[in-house]
Formats: sequence, C-alpha cells, structure tokens
Amino acid sequence: MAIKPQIIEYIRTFVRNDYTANDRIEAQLDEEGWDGLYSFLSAVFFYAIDLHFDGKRDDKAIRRFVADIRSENPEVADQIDPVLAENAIFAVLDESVDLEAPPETLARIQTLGIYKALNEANLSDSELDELLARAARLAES
Amino acid sequence: MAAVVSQLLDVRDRLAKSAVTALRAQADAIEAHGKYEEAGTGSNHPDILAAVTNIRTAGEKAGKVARLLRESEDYIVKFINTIAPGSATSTPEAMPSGEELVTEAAARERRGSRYHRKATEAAANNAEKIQKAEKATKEIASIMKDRLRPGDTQASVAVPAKPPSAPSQAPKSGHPVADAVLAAAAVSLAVRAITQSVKNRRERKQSDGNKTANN
Amino acid sequence: MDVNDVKATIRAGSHAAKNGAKTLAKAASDAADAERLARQTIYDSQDKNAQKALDKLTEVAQEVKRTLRRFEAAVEHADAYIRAIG
Repeated sequence: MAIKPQIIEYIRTFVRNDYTANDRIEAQLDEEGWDGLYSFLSAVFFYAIDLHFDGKRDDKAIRRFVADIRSENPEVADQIDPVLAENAIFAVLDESVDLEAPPETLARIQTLGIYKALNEANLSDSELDELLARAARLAES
Repeated sequence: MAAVVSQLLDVRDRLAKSAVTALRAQADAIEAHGKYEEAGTGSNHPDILAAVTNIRTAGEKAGKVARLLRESEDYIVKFINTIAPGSATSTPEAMPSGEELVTEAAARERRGSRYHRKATEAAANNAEKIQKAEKATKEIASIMKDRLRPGDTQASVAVPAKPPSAPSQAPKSGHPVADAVLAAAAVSLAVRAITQSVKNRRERKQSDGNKTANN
Repeated sequence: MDVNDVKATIRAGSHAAKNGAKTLAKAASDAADAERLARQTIYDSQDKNAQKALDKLTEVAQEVKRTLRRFEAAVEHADAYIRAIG
C-alpha cells in the first residue's frame, strides 16, 4: 500500500513545527482518511531512533532520552510508560528484543520519539525529506 | 612556522574527511551494482551489462580516490614532521571500507523491516486498534501545536512578525486584573511562538552551514 | 521478477548511483579546497614529501573525472535498459 503524500507531509510539518500547514493537512486527512499513518509512523520512528543513537543500543542514553521526553511533555507524561518506551527503542536498535507496547501506546511513544529525535538531529530540508522517503519505502514494502 | 604547521594540519584533516566521503560514494556504487545485477539476472541485453560494468568500475575508482587521498594525507603528515618533528600523525585507519558501509546499510534495512513488522503486526487486520493508534498520534500533534499557537483568534494565521499589542488581542474576562493576566499570557504565548520559529530557522541555518556531506 | 519489479530495482540502483556521483563530487570539491590550501602553504618548498602530496592530489582530480563519467554511463545504460524492456 502506497503511503499518501499528505501522510508524509503531516509528519514532516509536525516535526518542523509548521502548525499552520499541519492544521491544513489534518483537515484534508480527516476528510480523506488517515490510512497508512500508523505504518508510516512506525517506519519513521525506526529511522529517527536509529539516526539519533547512531544504530547503537546505549541503555543509559536511552533511559535519559525517555526521561527527557516525559519531562518535556508534561501533558502526556503519565500516558508514557517509561519501561514500554525504553523497550520500543531497544527493539529498534537490538534485533533480539521483542516489542511489548500495544499499538495505541506505541503510537504515542513513536510520535513523541520522532519529534525529539528529528528535532535534535538538525536535519536540512533535503535530509529530512530523504529520511521520510526511506521510511515511506519501508512502510510500503 | 606555527601558522604553516597549523595550516598543514588543516589540510591533513580536510583530506581525511574527503577520503571518508569518497568511501561513502564507493558504498553507493556497490549498492547500485547489487541492484543492477539483481535486475539483470538472466539477461544478456547489452545495456544492463554495460550498466553493471560501469557501476562496478565506478565503485573501484571511488575506492582508488579514497586511497589516493589517504596517501596524500600521509605525505602531508611526513612533511609536517619534517619541519616540526612530532607534530602530526595520520588519522586512524578505523574508517569503514565501502564494503563495510554497504553491509552496515544492509543490516540496518533488515533491522528496519523486522521492527516495522513487529510494530504493525499487532494492529494488522484490526481496524479498531489502528484507528485508536492514529487518533493517539493526532492528539499528541494537537497538544504540541497548541503550545505554539499565539491565541484562539490567531489559530489559522501564520506567526506574526511582531507580537500583537496585548489589549486588542487578549481574550477578555470583563475583570480588569484578570484581563491584565490574560493579556500578559497572550503576549507570552505569541513571543514563545516567535521564539520557537526563530529557533527552528536558526538551527536549520546552522545545520546547513555545519553539516558535512551526508548519505 | 516481473518486469515492474525489474524496473523498480533498476530505479533503486540508479538512485544509489546518482547519490554516489553527488557524494563523490562533494569529496572532490573538499579535496580541491584542501589542495588550494596545500599549494598556498607549500608553494616553493622542494621537500619531496610535500611534492608527492601535491602530485597525489593532481591524480585525485583526474581519477574523479573518470569515475564520474562511469557513474553517468551506468545510469544512462540503466535508463536505456528500462526503455528496452518496455
């Protein structure tokens, strides 16, 4: 299933804090349907986390990353179980780890994780586009 | 003398960096070679054969470029140590070869497929779970957008170039002290929104200026 | 592989090839900057190591040209093959 360009744009404008454009796309997607968002989100999370931790599982850094997410997002901190969030990141970086969070919880973790990792990466526009394109290919495969 | 040595050390560092970049180009060539070969399996068509040959040569030559750069770097280091003994060493040989970079990339793709499968299999064929997940993402995005909005009346308008004058923009409660507090809050939200977008622009500019060539 | 898979695979290959060419051009540009700085600093030195360093960089520039031509040729032939298989 091909990932719609608006789904990609939704995530791109979300990461870039372009809330005006994001609002507009959200309205479009409300009408047309959000198919593919969860699949695409999961793919972006993989590449974002892999980039942030340089492909290496560093448990201390991962715990700090999760703690920072919770303190930087007080509105939803109590919806983010740190153990499940750390497990999601372990699962990205370590093939032997199984994912434990159910889809709805994982969606929250992934959304926040993507925001933090990609903003801290300071990607140029073309680098971000390339990452999102790679994620779309992964989600479509 | 010190200036000369420092400049030559700069040359050394730039050559080392270029060599790594050349190796990345080699990794790209190796990846392309793999794809062309796979696509051309069982075909004798001259064009696909030529594509395969040319890209293989490109990969070999990119590797040679990296080697020449490292050799140049080694001579620069020798020269530095002639004029100022003990000042320089070559950068460590720990750089990944083109093959290793491709293997790394392939391993990452495998991890990615595995992760993606795990993430999506629990929700596969379960429309309700997927919808709940999609809604969760939307909610989080809304929360983050709300932090940036300058105010209810401004919700669909781009961030203003200067902060709006507080009295005309702030929501009113009818009570003078509360109005002042609300006005102050509206101004601070507007300022935060501007700060955020300025920060983003500055960070993007910095990253464009500082970033070396990437994948 | 059906013909659509073949084309998709070739396109992925050409995407990588184009990236490779771009990346190599960047390496060459960085190397050219280094060479300029080296020539400025070394300029009239008779030192053998200094001269060999500069000679290598001249070789780099030539090799890069040849390599970029190969990248280009690969992509052109790949495009031609895509057209040929319809």
